[in-house]
Parts: sequence; C-alpha cells; structure tokens
Amino acid sequence: MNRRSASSSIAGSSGQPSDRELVGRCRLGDTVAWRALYDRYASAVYRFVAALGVPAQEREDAAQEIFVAVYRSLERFRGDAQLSTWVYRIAARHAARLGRSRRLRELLGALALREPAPPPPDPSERAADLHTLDRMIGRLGAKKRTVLVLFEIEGLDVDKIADIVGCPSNTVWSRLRHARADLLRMARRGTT
Amino acid sequence: MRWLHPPGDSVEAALRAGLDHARARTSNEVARRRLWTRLADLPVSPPQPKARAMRLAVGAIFVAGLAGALLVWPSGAPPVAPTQQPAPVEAKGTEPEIPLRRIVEGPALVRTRARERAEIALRDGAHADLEPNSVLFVDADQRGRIQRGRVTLSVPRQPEGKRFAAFAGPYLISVLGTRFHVRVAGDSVGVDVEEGAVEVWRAGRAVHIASGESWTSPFSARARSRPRARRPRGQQITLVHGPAGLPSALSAPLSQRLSEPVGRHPAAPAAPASSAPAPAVRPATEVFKQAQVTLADGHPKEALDLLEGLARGHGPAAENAAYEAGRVLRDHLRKPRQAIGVWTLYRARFPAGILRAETDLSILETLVALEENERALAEAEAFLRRHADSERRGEVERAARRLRERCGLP
Repeated sequence: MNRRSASSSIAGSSGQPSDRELVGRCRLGDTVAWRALYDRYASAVYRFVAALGVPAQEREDAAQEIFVAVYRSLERFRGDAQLSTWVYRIAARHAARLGRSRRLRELLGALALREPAPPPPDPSERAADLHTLDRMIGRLGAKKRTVLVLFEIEGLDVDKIADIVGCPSNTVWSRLRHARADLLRMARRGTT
Repeated sequence: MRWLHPPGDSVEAALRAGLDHARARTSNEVARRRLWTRLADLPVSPPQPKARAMRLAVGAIFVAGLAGALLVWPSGAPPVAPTQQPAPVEAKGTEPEIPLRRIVEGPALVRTRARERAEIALRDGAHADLEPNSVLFVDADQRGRIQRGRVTLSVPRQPEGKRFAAFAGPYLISVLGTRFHVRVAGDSVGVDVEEGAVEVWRAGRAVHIASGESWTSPFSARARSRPRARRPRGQQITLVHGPAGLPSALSAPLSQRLSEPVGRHPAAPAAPASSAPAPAVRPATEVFKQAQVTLADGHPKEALDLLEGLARGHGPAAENAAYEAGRVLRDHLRKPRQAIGVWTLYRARFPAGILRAETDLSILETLVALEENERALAEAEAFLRRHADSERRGEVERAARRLRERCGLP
C-alpha cells in the first residue's frame, strides 16, 4: 500500500528548513519562521478540520485556535514525534472539543424548541458529493471518524495514526474497519 | 491499493469520489491569508511553561527553606544589627558571557532571554550586542531594528557620503561611525552617545546627538525622571525605545514629538510637554473589530475612517485594514474607482504583502465590473505572471481569455 507520508503531504519540499529547525527558530521568537510553519501546515489543518465535520463558517476560527495552541505548545515539543503528528494531535483534540460544544448547542436549541439554523453553504465547495460525504462522516462516532479521516483523507499510515490518537495499531485497524463499514452502510441507505 | 478502488457499484464509486475530493480539498488563499493576519500578532516568543514552572518551584523551595530557617533560629541569639547595604554594583564578573559574534541572515528576529547575550553582525561592518531580554529584528538588507531591550551598536567609520542606519520603533538612527547602546523600556526611546555623533530621524525631522550627550524620546516620563550622570567621553551611546515596536507616541503628532527640546544633556530639565502622559492606544485588533461592527451596523463611512486610521500604522493589522478599506469603498460606498485607487496604494506600500494576491484579484474583478477590458486584461496577465502558483490561476486564465475576446485580441 503506497501511503503518502504526512511529512511529504504537508511539509515543504527539499531546501526548505526542517520542522525541527522551524520549531527552534519559533522558540526564539522568529516571526518569519512562525509564518513558514503556518504556511506549511495551514492547508492540512484546514482540510483536517473540514473533514472532521467542522462547519464551513467555523473552520477559520477552529484553525486559528489550533495554530494558537500549536504556538503556545512549541516549548513542549520535544521532537520525539514528527511535527506533523503533533499538529494533527492538537487539531484532533480541538476538533473533538468543537464537536462536543456544537452538539451541546444543538441539544440546548432543541430543548428550547428552536430549530437550529442550517449552516450556510460553503461557496468554495460546490461538489455535492463532498457535502454528502461530510454529513456521513459527521454521523460517525468521534473515534472512528478521526481514524477514518486520518487514514482515508489525510493519507497517514496506521502507526502514525496510532501515535496521534494514542492507541495501539490494532485498535486503529479495528476502528477503521468499523468506520468504513458504517460509511458504506450509510451510503447505501442514502442516509445523509 | 485504495479502499473501494475499483468500486463494486455506483454507491461505492460515489463514496470513493467523495473521499478523493475531500483529499484534494484545501482552504482558499483568502481564508489562509485572513487567518494569518490574526495569527501574526502573537507575542514575539512563545511562552515557556517549563521555565515558568521551574522558577515557581525554585521560589517555593526558597520560601520553604526560609520558613524552616526561621523555625530553627536560636531564640537567645542577639539580634543582628542592621548593616548598611552596599550600593548595588554591577559585577562585571557575574555578567553573562558574550558569545562569539553571530552572522544572522535576515530577515530574522533575534531574542535574548534572561542572562543571555548575543552579538550579531550587521551590514557595513557594524555589530550589535544584545543584552539580556532584548529583541532585534534583522531585515533582509541586514539592517537592525531594535524592538526591545538594550542593544549596543558599534559602527566603524563609514566611507565618505555613506551612513549606517538602524531603526528603533518609528525612529531612524543615522550614524557616520560610532558606538552606542540601545535600550528599550516601556514606551520610551533614549540615546546616550559615547563617540562620534548620531542623528535620530523621524518623518523628515532629525535630532542631532553629539558625543557624550543623551536623548530621550518624548512621552518617556519615567526615563526622564531618573537623573543620569553624564557619561564621560569615550563611553557608549544608548538609544531606548518602546517594547512592541508600536509605541504609543505614534498617536501623537510628529511635530509635537520632534520639535520638543530634547535632553541634549542628561542633566537638562525635561520639556514640560514631553512629560505629559501618552494617550492610551487601543490595540489594532480592537479597532479592526470596531470597524467591522460599525460596518455591520450600516455606517460604512465611519468604518472607513477607522480602517484608514488603522492602515496608517504598521504590521499585518495595518495591511489588512488597507485592503479592507478598498472593499468598503467598492462594496458599501459604491465607489469602485476609489477602491481601485486604495488597492493600488496598498500594492505600492506592501509590494509583497500577505494580501497581495487578493488585492490583485479585487482590482481585476472591479475592472471587469467597470468593463475596462484593456486594463483588466493587463491586470489578469500581470496576475498570472506574478502568482504562478495561485490556486485561482485557472479562474484568472479563463477571465483573461474572455477579456482577450472582448478586446478583439487573438
């Protein structure tokens, strides 16, 4: 299986400063390095939060929160894992938190007998299949959703996913298998 | 082998197509740049929780030790007579050791932490010695901009007609050859000259400071309230400047700042006007938010005033405001030609700005709407040359084709 590695998918090409170098310069307060780090990971973070079901109107704020968290945690980055793994871990945590608060808002809205306003369509995503997929992925459980997105959309290998979500590789495979089955079942039923 | 590839039926094919689309999904350029304007103003250096925790732990141990010592103190011991504490003397031997001079390739930000010093090579043979807790930005031309702390600049004698320049906040320091310190404390900038002569410039006005003299920027009451002994000739020069690179004095008229009598001599009394407190300055993000709220409330002119004021500053917030002012003019005040003028100014001021591509696109869109086809075509072609990797390249190429047809070009 030819999985693309996270570093090749979201890190810059050769000749660019390495992740470790960027982190070191960011720690010294180098804003140019911080900009380079942002440029390197902005697309991946945005795609990840979108795939995890964060609505279009909340994605920018979510990405901002994730980058602020990354910035504040730079001192804690020991370099044991790849920076991409670490960024994904922070992003997954934030996306899960956003999902919980969104569900709570919807619940409170339902209790108050208010119909929640439908999210405005994202003009940059006109493909109907993408909307359908987002809705289906949004119906998966949080753990299965994270694993499915990291594997099928972000293209990470299972060992790296295990590192990000903090569970054994076998568990990742198990969650992935269940997530795929659920997704296919929803697609066949047409439950979107 | 990918999951659902090849697909078994149409449902699997649709699901695979959706996953492939999701894989190719990315944020648009505008969203990324807009987000960067919100992230660029983070503090200069990320917090250091470990160091803070370490300091807290050391402090706690010290307090506990002190408490323990008091408990076991022999009660019958004669009280120790208070002794005259010697004046604190800066022990040369305990100062952090200056490391070897580093050549930093700009643009880069150099920051020293507590008990850390750095010596940085600048252009024209000059070098900067950063004392602890100082920040120096080295730009692409290897010129230094002192952002915080105390920095000593040593400048060799410059050739005839050539001057060395360094920056401290809104001030340009121009020298022929000298050695001087730069201190950044609070919102004030001050200069102590040791050798040679220094000129401090701002917006076409200059203050000349000769050897052995000192100068402190206006609105630095704290710095002026401390009398300093005149440095003998042969010592160093010190320039002091506010920490954030955006001193509150920016809000004061420049004429008020540079026309004031300056502290030519350390013992010279401060000018009354200069001891007035600096007016409070709201953070740029707050002003920007207010402009957005004002716009949403249906007051585009007021919003435009706020944005224009913000755009006169520096940094990403000013850049963002300069761009947004054009949008207010075009979309809310229905003045597309003025909007193009504002965006053209933006391009002149921020030729490699983070919103440059968006500005180019906005000008192009507006020209198309105004049916100024030839200008629009020139803009489209310039965009394609300048932004070869833009994700909106395809869109602009299609627009350029249509414009060529309209202009009757092949």
